[in-house]
Amino acid sequence: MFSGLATGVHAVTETVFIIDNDHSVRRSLSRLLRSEGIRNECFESAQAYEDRDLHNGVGCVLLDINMPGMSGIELQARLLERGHNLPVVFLTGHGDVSSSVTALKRGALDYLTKPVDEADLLRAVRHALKLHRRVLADARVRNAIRARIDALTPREREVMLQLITGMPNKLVADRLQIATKTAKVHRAHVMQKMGMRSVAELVHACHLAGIEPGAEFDR
Amino acid sequence: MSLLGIIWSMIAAACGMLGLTQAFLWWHNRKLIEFPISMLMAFSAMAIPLLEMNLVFSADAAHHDRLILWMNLAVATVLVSIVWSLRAILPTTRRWAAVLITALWIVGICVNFLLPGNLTFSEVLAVEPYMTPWGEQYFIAKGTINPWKWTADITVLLIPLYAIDGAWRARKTSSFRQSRAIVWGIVLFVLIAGTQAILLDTGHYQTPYTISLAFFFVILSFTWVLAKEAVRAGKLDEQIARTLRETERLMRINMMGEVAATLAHEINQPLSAILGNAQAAEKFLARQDPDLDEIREILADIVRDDKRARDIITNLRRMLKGDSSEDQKADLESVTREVLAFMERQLAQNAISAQLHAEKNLPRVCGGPVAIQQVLLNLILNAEHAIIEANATKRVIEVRVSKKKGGCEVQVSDSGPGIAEEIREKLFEPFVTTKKLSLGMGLTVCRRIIENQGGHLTIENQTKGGACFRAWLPACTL
Repeated sequence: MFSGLATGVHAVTETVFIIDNDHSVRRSLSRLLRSEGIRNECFESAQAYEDRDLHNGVGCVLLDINMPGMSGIELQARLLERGHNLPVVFLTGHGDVSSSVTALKRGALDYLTKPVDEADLLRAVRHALKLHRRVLADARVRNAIRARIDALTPREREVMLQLITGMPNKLVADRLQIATKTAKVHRAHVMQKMGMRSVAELVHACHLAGIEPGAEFDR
Repeated sequence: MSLLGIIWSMIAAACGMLGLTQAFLWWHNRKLIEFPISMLMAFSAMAIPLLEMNLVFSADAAHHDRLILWMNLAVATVLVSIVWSLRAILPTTRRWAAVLITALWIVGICVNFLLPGNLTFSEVLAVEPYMTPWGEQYFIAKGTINPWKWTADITVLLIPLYAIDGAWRARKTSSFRQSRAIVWGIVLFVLIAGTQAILLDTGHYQTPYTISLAFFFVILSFTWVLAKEAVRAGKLDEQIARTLRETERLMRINMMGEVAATLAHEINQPLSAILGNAQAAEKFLARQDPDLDEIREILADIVRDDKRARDIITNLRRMLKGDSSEDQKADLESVTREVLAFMERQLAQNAISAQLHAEKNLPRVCGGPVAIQQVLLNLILNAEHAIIEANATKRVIEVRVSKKKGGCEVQVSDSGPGIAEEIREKLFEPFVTTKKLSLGMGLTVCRRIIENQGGHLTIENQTKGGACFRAWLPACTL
């Protein structure tokens, strides 16, 4: 849609992080994902995963709730604090209803009851990965738009803010107390630097970047 | 046989029967003092009609003197027994009055045996014949009244006062309702018998001695009340025993619930692994050229996990075996090991380490292994909860099995916060608990199980902190 903005994320970096204290369970989950060609890494404890560098590709976390030491719920809370945005899918034993509810309230994507059926597992994992892929793609678009906005001069930014409210050039010029001609020039620069062909596209791009009509620029 | 003879024999026999009844009640409830005293009362009262019978048919003054001597002893025993037995049943009676009556009779008996004559007559002068309305001849002694006789006479007045006073002071309590039959019996019959004796001895009025008949009714009232009490207590005991048995069963079910939850969690892990592996294998096999090494590895994993699940079940079964067996002796160490083996994973899940120290060559103890396991499981679960709830940094449960005083003791101590002194002993009472979601029956049942085997279960706080439960069981000699 926006020329050169939407960049595909390489599937190679898509990773599922399996965190379960039980060796056998870890192995079998890993195998199951591998059989579907999904890359994964295993961790034997919440601590081990927390010690790892933050993953910056697409991914999701398969997290056992009931673990000695730091529990799944605790890890989730700590990751949230650190701004970790990987979707979390919880694995629970039977009867862990209360902890499952806590997990979901804190933003867990899903929870699966052990023993997990392959179909449910793959559906949950694929959904989580898709979601994260979109989150990352949106972030990329947003960053790209923000980079372009940063390249605008302060005056151009002011003009852009007026433009996205849908005002014609004359009114923009009045508001900013500049000549209509000057406003037209600024407008042309904005559209060019932002790589937009229409005001509608510009409005949408600003929306993606979190800039709404009527906002004030503070930078 | 004469009518008098028949009456007295029957009274003697009846008193004997009542004495035996008391003896029987005493045999079944050896803690209550009123049973042996009442038994003494009944057997002494049995002597009275026999003596009276000899007395009225004897024309010999010396013989009368000797018989009255012994009769006084019997009467003294009966009256003193009545006083103390009533006091055991009716605690509101005055102790000093009981002591006074006893003291008066001790003086009386001393006079009876040490001074010339007996307590009634210091000298029997003559024996006079009389006729009953139905024409039977009987003899009554005449003589000089002993100047000490008042000691006995006064007790005849004191005893009904003592009984009425005790009953009055207990008028609103349950012990009054239980004992009022006795009180009325004492008041009426001691008065009647006493009046008769006084009238007879002072020679104002002539009938054969029938003190025994009056005593018989008092003793009957005692036996009636005590037997009724014993039956009621028996029923109550049975009810309590039934309730406790039921509670024990419920606790076992509750415990089984906990065991089942642990078991479900334990078995879930290998089951998840097996399912995942099998489904992965299916996917690998569906490929064009399946990686057989991978499949082999998967199968090996499945076998291993299956064995793991089997071991969990075997552990549980070993722990529960003997549930139906009549095994009444147990190897405390192996029982403890089994319980710990079963709890191991759950404890590890909560980052608690369990340490077992066991002495060598321990004797077997009394008690079914399953019952002992129930107690141990309960104690270890309690220790676990204490540590988790307090979120203790040191997380250790120590279990010690050792020889002690002709038996074995198992100690379960935890590194939790210990138990507040004010509820420490109460903890074994029903419905006392420190946990939010607990009925408070666990330890009550535990103590009962241990005490049923002749052992004891106690709790103390360790000086280094944390609670320590000690269950001691006697060695099994079978």
